[in-house]
Amino acid sequence: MPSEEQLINLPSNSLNKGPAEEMKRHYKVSIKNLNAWFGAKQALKGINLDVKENTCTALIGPSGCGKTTLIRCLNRMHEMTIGASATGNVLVDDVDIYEKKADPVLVKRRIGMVFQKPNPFPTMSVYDNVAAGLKLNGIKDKALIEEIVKESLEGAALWSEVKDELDKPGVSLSGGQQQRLCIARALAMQPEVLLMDEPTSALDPIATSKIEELVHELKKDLTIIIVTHNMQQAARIADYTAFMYLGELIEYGPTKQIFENPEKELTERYISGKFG
Amino acid sequence: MKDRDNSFVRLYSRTITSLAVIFIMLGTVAISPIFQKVYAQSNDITINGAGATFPFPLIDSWRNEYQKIEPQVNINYQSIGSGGGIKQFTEKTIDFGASDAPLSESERERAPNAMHIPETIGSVVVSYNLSSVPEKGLHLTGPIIADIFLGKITKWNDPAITSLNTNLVLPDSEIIVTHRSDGSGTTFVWTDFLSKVSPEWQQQIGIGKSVQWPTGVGALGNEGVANVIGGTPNTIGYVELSYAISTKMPYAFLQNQEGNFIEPSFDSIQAAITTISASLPKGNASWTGVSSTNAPGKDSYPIASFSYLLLYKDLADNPSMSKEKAQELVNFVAWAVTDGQSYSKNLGYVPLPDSVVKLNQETLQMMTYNGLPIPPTISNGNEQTGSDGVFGIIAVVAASSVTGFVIYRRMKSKFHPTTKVDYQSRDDRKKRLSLFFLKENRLGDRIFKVVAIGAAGYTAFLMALVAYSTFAGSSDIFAHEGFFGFVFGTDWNPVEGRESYGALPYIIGTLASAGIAMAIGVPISLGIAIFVSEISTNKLGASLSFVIELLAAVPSIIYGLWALFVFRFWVRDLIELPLSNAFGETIPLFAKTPFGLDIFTAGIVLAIMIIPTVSSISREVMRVVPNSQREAAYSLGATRWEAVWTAVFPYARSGLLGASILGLGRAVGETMLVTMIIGNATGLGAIPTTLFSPSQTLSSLIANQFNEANTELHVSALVALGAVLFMITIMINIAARMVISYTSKMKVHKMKNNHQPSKMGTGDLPPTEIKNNSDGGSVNVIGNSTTGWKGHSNVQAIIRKESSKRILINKGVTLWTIACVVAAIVPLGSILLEVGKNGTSVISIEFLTQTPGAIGSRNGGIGPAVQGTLLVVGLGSLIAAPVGILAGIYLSEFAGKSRFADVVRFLNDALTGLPSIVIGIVAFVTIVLWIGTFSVLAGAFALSIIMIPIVVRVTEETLKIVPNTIREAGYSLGIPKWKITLFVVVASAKNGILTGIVLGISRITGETAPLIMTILGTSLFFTSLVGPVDALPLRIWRLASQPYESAHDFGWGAALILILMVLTMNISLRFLAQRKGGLGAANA
Ligand SMILES: Nc1ncnc2c1ncn2[C@@H]1O[C@H](COP(=O)(O)OP(=O)(O)O)[C@@H](O)[C@H]1O
Ligand SMILES: [Mg+2]
Repeated sequence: MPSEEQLINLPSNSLNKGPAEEMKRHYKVSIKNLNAWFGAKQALKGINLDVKENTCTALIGPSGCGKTTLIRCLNRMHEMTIGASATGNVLVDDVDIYEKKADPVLVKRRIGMVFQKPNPFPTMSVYDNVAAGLKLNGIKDKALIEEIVKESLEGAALWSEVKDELDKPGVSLSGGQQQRLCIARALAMQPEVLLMDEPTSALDPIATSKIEELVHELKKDLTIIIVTHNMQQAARIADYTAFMYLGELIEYGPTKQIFENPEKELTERYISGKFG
Repeated sequence: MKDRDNSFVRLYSRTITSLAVIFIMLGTVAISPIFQKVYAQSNDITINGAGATFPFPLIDSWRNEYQKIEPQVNINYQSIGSGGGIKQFTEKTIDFGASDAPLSESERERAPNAMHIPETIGSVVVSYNLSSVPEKGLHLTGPIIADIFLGKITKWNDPAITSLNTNLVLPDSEIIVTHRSDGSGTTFVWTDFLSKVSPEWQQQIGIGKSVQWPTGVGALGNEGVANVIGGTPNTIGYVELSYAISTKMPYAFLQNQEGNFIEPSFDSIQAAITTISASLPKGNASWTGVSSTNAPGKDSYPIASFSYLLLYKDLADNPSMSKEKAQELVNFVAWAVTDGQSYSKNLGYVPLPDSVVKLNQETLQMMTYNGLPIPPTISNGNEQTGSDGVFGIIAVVAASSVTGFVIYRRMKSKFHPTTKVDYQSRDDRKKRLSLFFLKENRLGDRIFKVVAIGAAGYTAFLMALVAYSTFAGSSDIFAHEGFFGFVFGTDWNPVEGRESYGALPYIIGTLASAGIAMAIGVPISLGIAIFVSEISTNKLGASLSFVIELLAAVPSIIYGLWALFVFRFWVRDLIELPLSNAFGETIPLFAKTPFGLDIFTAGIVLAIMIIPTVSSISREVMRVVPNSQREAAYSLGATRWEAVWTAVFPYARSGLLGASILGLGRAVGETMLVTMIIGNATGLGAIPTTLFSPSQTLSSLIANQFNEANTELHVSALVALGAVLFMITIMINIAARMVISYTSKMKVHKMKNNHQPSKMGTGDLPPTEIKNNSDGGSVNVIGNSTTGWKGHSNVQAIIRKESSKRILINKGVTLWTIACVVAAIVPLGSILLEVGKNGTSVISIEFLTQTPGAIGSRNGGIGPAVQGTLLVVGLGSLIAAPVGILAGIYLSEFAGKSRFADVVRFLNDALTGLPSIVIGIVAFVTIVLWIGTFSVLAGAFALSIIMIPIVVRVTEETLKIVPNTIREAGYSLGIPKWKITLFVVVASAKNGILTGIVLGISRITGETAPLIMTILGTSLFFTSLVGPVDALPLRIWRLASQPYESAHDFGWGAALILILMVLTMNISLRFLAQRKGGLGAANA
């Protein structure tokens, strides 16, 4: 049984690991036979999916096929909806976040999430939005917080635009800036995995391309799983792509393969826009 | 980067600080030295008395005069009615009682060894409004008056009357009878007289403080009766002599036993008393049956009677009576019955004849304290402890400084010194964070949840307590009449020995008046809401809605006074008379001669009272309707009205329904206002037969009779009226729930259809939004739903109609909404004008900061009332705000679909419709009787019960509007729930919650009825948390019922101050809300 320390786990390239353990670690995130329900309705059916470290994986599929549900299972957000439940395992660094002793609150501290619509905290300034995760989790070291806020805003490619208006309300930024603010807010927690649910669906093309560039940069440091509706986007940014349909994972592989040479006919039809 | 580490905490602590500062200010202002002035020195002795209204002016001038002789003795006498005086005397919550009627045998049993000390003489006169007889001097006999009040003589030119008044011309008009609606000693004396002169009266009606009147309009207090007589031609009624003298009303000469027609005067009344004084019992004996009406003697005026002070023979029977206080009390009474008599005549009171003074002095010699005699002493060396006062001040100072200190520490603790460590490398930082994040603290979540549940549980407990006390208090009458016998009975006879009670007429009256209020108020409110949210969306609309919301800030007692003095005449002359002249013959609904004191007027005034509430909530509901709905309609070529009808209304339906139900709740439970204008009929007569019939509601009957109810059965019957009202509000709530859950079920159904996987694109709802919408369990005041647009086919049907007609309809609707706005603004203007006109002249620093001066004079002020209001309201909201907010947080954030939450919601909703007077009764039987005295604490407790449901409701509704994505953003950062709730969710909803608090405070600031039963009122400043205090609404009410011009002006002045206080609060809230964006900014 893994100790709490293991659950939390230290940054990826970490210190005291024996060679044997090193060997086992093929995947950053490993989803095993995941099922999810809303009440009696099954939204995910036996999903198996392995995600490599420092890659970007795209989830595609028609509306309602369970993409959102799937990534919400990866940080145990799914079960917070009333009546929702899930079974199966999700291993992050080989430790099961659905393990009985695993604390869903602690899990979320290591796995960041960016939502479909930008959702900065309405009462907080730009600065406080980014610092919120640290401060509300009890970190009091000012110097540390300031450092991290700056670094996260830089990481989200927002620093240069907002560095003079850190005291402005977060909600006063433009839509694209708000979404990057939300990314910065997630980055401040130093996550190992970043989940993004259609982060550009509410944005204009210019803002969208900024976020896409950002994804490129970010995956150097973390593992990204992104839901997208837009197949070009998936093709542009993802190393791997998973196609889902009616709660099932139909096909998964390197993006190039999925787009150019899918194995399943369903995938092919979806990619070519024949339904959806 | 500049230092902004605290900017985030600042946001929150600023709110807490400003609230704290407000409360600390309240605290300090309340006890500040200006207020203390001469009076409330800590070694003073305060003697509290309460009871009959009749001797109030006299006793109050004794207070003032005695102060000059014995500066350290404060007399505080409050007129709560004889029955109330006896009740409080029996419960030993006061030092002496006063009553216009001697104790009955059963009352004597409950207050053994009570002494009667007649302290002055009263007399009842017959007054009238006859254009042909503008002066005093109409001749009447007892039997004729009895026949008039029995409804047997109905015309002024009845031969029985004209034959006695051959020199006068009497009109061929109907006699309008008016009587007191509230239980009163005056009515007791009056019916005592009628019973002596008319066997029929004696048999049918009997003697009592409240009786079952066979005819006539009931009015509240001498003031109310005088108002009816003065304002309505051809009326006859009875008032106290002193009242008639000081207000210069015409009065009749009555025939005495020996056949002479006697003018009521000091001499004729003293003559009557002297003839019976030889037969009076000793002070410690039973006075039951002592009566001086219809006294023998050729010069005796036939309606004279004593008013009594009540003391315990052994003063130590009252556990809170110290020896020093006992001595001072005896001294004061000894002075009052001798030297004090010299102040009588000026005020219209009849001085005691020597024989009675002597009797009183003997009585005082019998007084003891713990068995030892304490005869009156002339002068006395006072060394009182006075710890009460010191304790009170220390307590308040300590409480506010502890609060201040705690808050200071709280803020201080946020400013942690920076431990300057260099985290050069990114890995260093990561490592530090990850170590830190290992620490999970579940305790915070657990504690917070327990506290929130505790708050919700407390509110549920309060509501259950109210329900329980109400039903437990009704058990006697249910046993006596049977539950159905009571509910469907029509008799209401409180006369001892003939008791019989039935609630049906008042149930009908309540439903009818509330029905009229809804029929008038809801359409007008909707019109206003349409105007400000759809038609005039600019500055004008905004300022209009502000002005209309001000109406909500007017306490209902002020509505009542305004309605009684101004508005009822408008209703009578502009609506009722034309209607009854035109249709009275043909349509039975408009039959009966109207005079503006009836169910119709009550309905209209209730409508005016609920309009601000209903229209503001409706406006908010309509504002939440997304613009896309309207645009969809406009894009099909709909006119504005068609867009409202087809796009906005369907969307906002459940919210609008919720708003109306809130209005209905208020209309059903309103007390003081209705009591002043509904005409207060009892028994079968209270069932309205036409729109213009006097009637009575459940709550007005409670208000009228509770203070004077003197048998246990009567009290129980009145409490049972509260229980019936409770059941009615619960039924209304259940019905509302059913309607709303039905409509929202349909919505959920529709939404599920919208959310088919086949529909790509925008149908893709985030999962949690559904959860919010399917919550059909509560009365959703603010309809926050996302239905698809349903108006489609409707609009198409409409726009095919002829277009000129459509434009005409649109214009018509616009005009109608403007008319609605005007209809709401005119009353507000009139109220403010009336209050401003009459109130401004008396306002000064002295008026605000001093205790009342001599009665009838323009000296002194209403300082204690200002101070008391701040104290009681401050303390009440200090209890209600945190409890209400926490309970609201629980319901919205933690409860989910739990049963317990449903119970809490249900009890909360049921309570908002319960009349505040019932809550007053509950606070009385719990806190007042438990502590043993009236107190700030009891008042604050009662007010907090009224305020809590409002805060709970608004908090829950506002929190529900906070989008779930905000919460999820917080969860996704691994922040504990309680911190997300407080620092993200509640912070976002801050303005809404603040609105709820201000709404609650405005509401309780104007409450009158529950204060009468909890704080008593006083003319002195605050000295102790466990002694009576004063409050503005109470003071307004008492001032308005005094017969002096100056008192009325003071009353208006106090009303002005009260309105200003509530307005300031409202305006500063809006200011605050505009400055800090909160959620509004997030949505913008
Ligand atoms: N809160 C919810 N309650 C019930 N069913 C839901 C809820 N959220 C999503 N669903 C259902 O679960 C399925 C998957 O939804 P979702 O994961 O949101 O799909 P996607 O993100 O791929 O569009 C859909 O059929 C949807 O109707
Ligand atoms: Mg989705």
